[in-house]
Amino acid sequence: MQGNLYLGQRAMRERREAALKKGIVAIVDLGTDKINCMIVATDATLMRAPRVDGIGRLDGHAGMKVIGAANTMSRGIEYGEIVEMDEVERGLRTVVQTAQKMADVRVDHVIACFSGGRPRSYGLLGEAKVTHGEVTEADVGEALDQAEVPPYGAGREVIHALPVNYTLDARTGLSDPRGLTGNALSVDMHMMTVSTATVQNLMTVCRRCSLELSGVVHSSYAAGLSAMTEDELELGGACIDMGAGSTGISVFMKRQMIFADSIPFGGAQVTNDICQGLIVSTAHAERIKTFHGGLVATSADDRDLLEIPRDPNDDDAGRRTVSRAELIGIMRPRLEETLEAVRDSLDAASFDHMPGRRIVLTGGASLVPGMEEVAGRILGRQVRLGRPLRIPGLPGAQTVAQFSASVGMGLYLARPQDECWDYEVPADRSGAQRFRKALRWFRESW
Amino acid sequence: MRPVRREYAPSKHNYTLQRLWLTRGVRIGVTRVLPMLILIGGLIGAVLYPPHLAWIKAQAGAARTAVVELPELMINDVEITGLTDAQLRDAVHVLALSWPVSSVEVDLRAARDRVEALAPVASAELTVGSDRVLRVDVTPRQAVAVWRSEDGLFLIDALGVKIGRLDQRLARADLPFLLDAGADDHVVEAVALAEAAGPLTERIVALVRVGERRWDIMLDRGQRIRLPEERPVDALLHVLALQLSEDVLERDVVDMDMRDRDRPTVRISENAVREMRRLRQLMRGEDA
Repeated sequence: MQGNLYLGQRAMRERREAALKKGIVAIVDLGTDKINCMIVATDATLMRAPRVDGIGRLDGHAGMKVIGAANTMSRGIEYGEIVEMDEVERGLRTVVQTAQKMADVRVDHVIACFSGGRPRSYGLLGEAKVTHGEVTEADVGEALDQAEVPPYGAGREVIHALPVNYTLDARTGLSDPRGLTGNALSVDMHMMTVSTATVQNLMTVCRRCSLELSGVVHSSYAAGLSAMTEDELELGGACIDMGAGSTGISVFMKRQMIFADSIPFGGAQVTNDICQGLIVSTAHAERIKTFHGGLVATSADDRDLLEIPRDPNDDDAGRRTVSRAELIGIMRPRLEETLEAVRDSLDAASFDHMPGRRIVLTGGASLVPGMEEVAGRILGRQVRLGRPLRIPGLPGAQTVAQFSASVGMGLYLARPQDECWDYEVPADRSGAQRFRKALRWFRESW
Repeated sequence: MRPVRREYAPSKHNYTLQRLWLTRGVRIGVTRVLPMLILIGGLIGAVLYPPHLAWIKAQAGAARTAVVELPELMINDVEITGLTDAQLRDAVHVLALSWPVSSVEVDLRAARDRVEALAPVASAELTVGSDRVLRVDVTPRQAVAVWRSEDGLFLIDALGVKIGRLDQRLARADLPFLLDAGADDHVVEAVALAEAAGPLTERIVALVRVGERRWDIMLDRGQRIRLPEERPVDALLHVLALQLSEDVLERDVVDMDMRDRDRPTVRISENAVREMRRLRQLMRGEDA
């Protein structure tokens, strides 16, 4: 693995640390349907404060508080990717300004998430000999450094590289081997790549709004962090983030994300289907979907007649009605198709062989009544609807499934997973590194 | 009808302005510093506006006048002590005050400096008492010698400062008489010599500064004692000792040279020389 592989990520991490020191960070979720911005005030002292009961420490999010939040309709984003820069810039300006007004502070640092970018997951294995009996950070860095990076193609970029599992001699399933004694250290790494253009666009839009991008998270990862409970993260489970433009899949095991994928199907397609099936405008279709939509038809639904709003440009004087069963008939195939694609993706990740197999549905499209039942039938496992974790100051309107990814980013900010670039590459790799190491030793000693 | 608003996003301008407004420094600058600057600027401007300035000056002048003209602060008279009548006129002249005058306007320090600049005044003390009289206590300079320089005859004090002109030396016959340039720088030495003279005092005519470096004492009958540069008083005492034991100066000695203390030398008059030679010849004749 080359030393300069994660230079961009390292720079971003430094910026994020600077932002945490400053205490004000904006979290921006650039979704297909909405752009959401939360301004989070962090308190570094509370972040790792001991718990009231004296057992362990607080989990990070106690030290943060949402002091400003705003969201607006998103334009110029399709399938979770920016397709029109000016529109997205306007949307970002709107939310950032509104949130700033609410928080009465100025934000400079932004952590953004997006759902597109065709994410691809790779499992990597790195091995190294432990030099001094006890595993040190340098050994971990060495092992990570030894991992062979597959050719992931030009125009793609690593956004997450998480060491998910360490094996020391015969013991496996270690989450942090530092300080343990052993001989051979091997590390399983999960690397996730997205297309470079997507990240570049994100950077451009932030720069245009004179914000500093200090972190990029994929929304499937963020949604998983906030929608899944501790047990689900620990024992293994999948989070299906059903957004408007795309559906993100992330599989967690032992608190680490081991697989992620994204399917370009989402709620927007359902609206589109209703639009075409009932011949109404997109706005009306969206309204019909959210108010009357469903997935499981009962006999009562045949008698439940919905009035289709008239198009004022239409000469037709009559009032059109459609039964709810008909609406369900339009919506269900599309969502079934989406869930089948999710099932294929999970099968590809051999989710079947994992110990815990909870599936958490979150995101706007998961709120369709009957989704739990249909998803359970297709995915064949325990399925539940997940809502984002409550974090202090979160507006009541944002405690719903649509905002999982935003809240997840907050959690990511409060307690970022150790990523590959957090470990120093062994000192003999480069002169600058060695110099920095000497500096760090100096700092730590005095 | 109100036009339909198409654009809900804030303009770039608006956005930047809001962010600027939320910046701490800018906000404090605009809400605190700027009003303060405007206030201070306004005040300064109002004060410097010529009509206002004139009015302020007029008010200040009136207030000052009111204080200055208070009868309690007026000085009505002057009383000078320690000077002779002739010097008094000079002193009143240099005080340059016309009565009555307000004590606020009198610069006593400058007045004192002016009085002290007068030749006969060593130091002066000016006080304004409760009786509203300016009291000038002058310590006059003490004349210790009379000095004749190229410019004329002067009374001088111990520091060599000329106190005043003198018409004739005998007006102050009690003081030693100094001659020639440079004498005024060594008045103390001269006075010491005069005092040390003892029995010779009556006979001393003058003390002459020679070449601005040493003293000669001129006695009556044209006699002269030449003193060295170093320790002239000791040399004079030496002379006195010789006088007491040998009556040197009672003899026909014209000049007594003490410049070399190891070898006091006397010069006798021409007559004495002749007389001595005659006597010697006589003695030789008797012998022969």
